[in-house]
Formats: sequence, structure tokens, C-alpha cells
Amino acid sequence: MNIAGQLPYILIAMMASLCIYAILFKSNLFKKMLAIFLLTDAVNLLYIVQGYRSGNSIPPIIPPGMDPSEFASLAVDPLAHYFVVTAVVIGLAEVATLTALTIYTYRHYGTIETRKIKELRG
Amino acid sequence: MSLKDSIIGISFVALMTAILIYAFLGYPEVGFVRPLGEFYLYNTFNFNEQGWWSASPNAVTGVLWDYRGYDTLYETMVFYVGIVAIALFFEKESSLRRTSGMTVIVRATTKLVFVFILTSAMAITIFSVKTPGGGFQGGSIMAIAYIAIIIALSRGFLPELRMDLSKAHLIKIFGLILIFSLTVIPVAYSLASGTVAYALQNQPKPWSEFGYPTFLGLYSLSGGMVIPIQVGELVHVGMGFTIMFLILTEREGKKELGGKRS
Repeated sequence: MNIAGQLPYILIAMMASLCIYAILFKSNLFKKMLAIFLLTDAVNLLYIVQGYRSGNSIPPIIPPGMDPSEFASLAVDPLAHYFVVTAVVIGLAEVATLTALTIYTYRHYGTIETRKIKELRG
Repeated sequence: MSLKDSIIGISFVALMTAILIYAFLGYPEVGFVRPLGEFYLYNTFNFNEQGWWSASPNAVTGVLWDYRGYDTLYETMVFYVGIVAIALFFEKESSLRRTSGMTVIVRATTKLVFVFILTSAMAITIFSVKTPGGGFQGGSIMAIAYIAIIIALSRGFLPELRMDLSKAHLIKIFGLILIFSLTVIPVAYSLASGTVAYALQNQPKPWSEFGYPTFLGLYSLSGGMVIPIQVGELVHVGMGFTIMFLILTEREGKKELGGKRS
């Protein structure tokens, strides 16, 4: 197996597991939110790495006069780029909604530490 | 953080990384494009076999609004619901008070740059069939123009640009109506002519003659319905983010974002 070809996957795995750790164990809601955003980016990176083509690859925009079959053998995967384009905007909408929820929590409880909120209830 | 917490954290991350790397072992090595991606690349701007083409030299834009148009339509809906959720949490109409904002140099520069940012957003959207870009990207850039105004000139300056929360909602819905009408035009054509045509159909298929006009003489402005629908997406996303930031920058108390105490 070619180890160099697998390096991006190892990076993504580390990034994703750090984010999952932060989501599960951090008590600050803002830190949880940042971790969710970074996890989205890790998944986007996975898409881009999957769609990448090594060698003398070109962007998925056909230059004038190029034969389509030659283009199909050279360009990187457009499907991966498509998924990232939509996922980035949806991720941003998600983060904005979470920010609104966090602000709402802060106004209601006066803190965004989940442990303290638990104490307030009990 | 105690030693016990550190040990738990490090072992959790190590275990999770190992599991994910094991999961990634089934993927092909970097540098391999799947047959589905090659299908899109081969057909997106193929003059000789126009049966499956999208008339868009940019394959990503072709996939975005032609091959996977329904996907994008539902993503648009998800984005809309996200904005509605924020608007529900903070339904109170905020008072757009005029405060002094930042220094006069920053204010003058921001007014100039505002126009340039809006122009580049339009250009990125309209030329998205030839160059990288599209409605999502252009909309994000358009929102940056308004965010710069909010930060540098205070929220109270926005009424001078004829923009407030309800107007932003109105313009966003206009963008949605544009997308929706371009979606249902093929269905109306199908009902009127008695031939087969599908919602969100861009170019003719072997069994369906309906197709939006393409301007192949102007290489950079082809793509049928792709450009107008991208403009709708630009307006929708740009105004959506503007609404989000208008709501999220609202502060309790008297301090405006980036401004002095009034």
C-alpha cells in the first residue's frame, strides 16, 4: 500500500476525532459549536480528497476546443466539488442557527457552561 | 484539567482516529475519479452528443443546477428553514439606531468598497458557467458587503441604503420566486403542448424536447436556465445571510457593534 497516498485520510481522521471529542466532552456551548463547524470542514476535506486526481489534473471547467473524452480523463471529480459548495453554505446556516440558540441560552441562564446550567436546574 | 481528564481525552482521540482510519481503508487511494464523475465530465459540454448535456462548460455548475438540481433545490429549502428558525428566536424588530461607527477613514473606504463587493458578487454569479463560482458563493460575498456596512458604519446606516429586515425578507422571497418559476416552466410547457417535460429540466433529453435557450455564440454566457436560477440563488443566499447578521448583531444594552456608546 502506498502510505503517501493515504496521508490526507490520516489527517482527516485526526481532525474529525478531535472534533468529536470536543463535542462530547467540552462543557462550553461555544466550543461545542466550533467543533461542529470544524467537523463539517473535515468532512468537506474528505470529499475534496476523494475527488482529487493526481498527475497533471485540470479543474472541472472545459477549456475551449478540448475534446470531451480527453477532458473526462484529465479533470478532477465535479461531484465532490458540488457537494462541498452546498455543504459549506448549509454548514454556515447551521452555525448561525446554533449561534442564535447559544445567545438565547446565555440570555436565559446567564451562562453557556452546560455544567452550570445543570446546577441551576437542580 | 486534571491528569485523569487528559488521559481520557488522549485515549479517546487515539481510539477514534484508529477507528476512522480503519474505516477509510476501503476507500480508493487519492487520485482516482469514479465513473459517475467521469460521466458528468464527459457529458457536461459535449457538442457532438447533446443527449445528456447541460450546456455549461463548468462541470460543477452543470451538476449543481442540471444533473442534481433537485438536491440543490432542497438545500435551498434547508437554508430557508435555518433563517426562519433564527427569525423565530428573535422575532422582535430591532431598532436601527444611527451611531457614529468607526473612524471617518474606515467609513469612507467601506462606502467605496461596498459597491465593488456587490459588483464582484454579481460577476461571480453570472460568469459561473465559465469560471469557478455560483449563486452560493456570490450570495456569501454579497452578504459580506452588508456585514462590512454593519461593522464600519453601524446598523443604523442600512436604511440609507434602503435596506432593513423586512425589505431583506422581501428581496429574499423574490429570489425564491425566481427559482420556483424557472422550476415549473417546463411543467407548464408540458401541460400546454402535450409533450413530456420535467420540473427543473434544463436541456432537451432524447425523449423530451423542452430546453431553455442557450447562447453558444457567447461562450461565457451559455447554460440555459443556469444563469437566471443562479441569480435567484444569489439574492436568496445573500439576503439570508444579511438577515442572519442583522439579527445576530443586535445587542442588548446601548452598545452597537464596533461603535461608541450612545
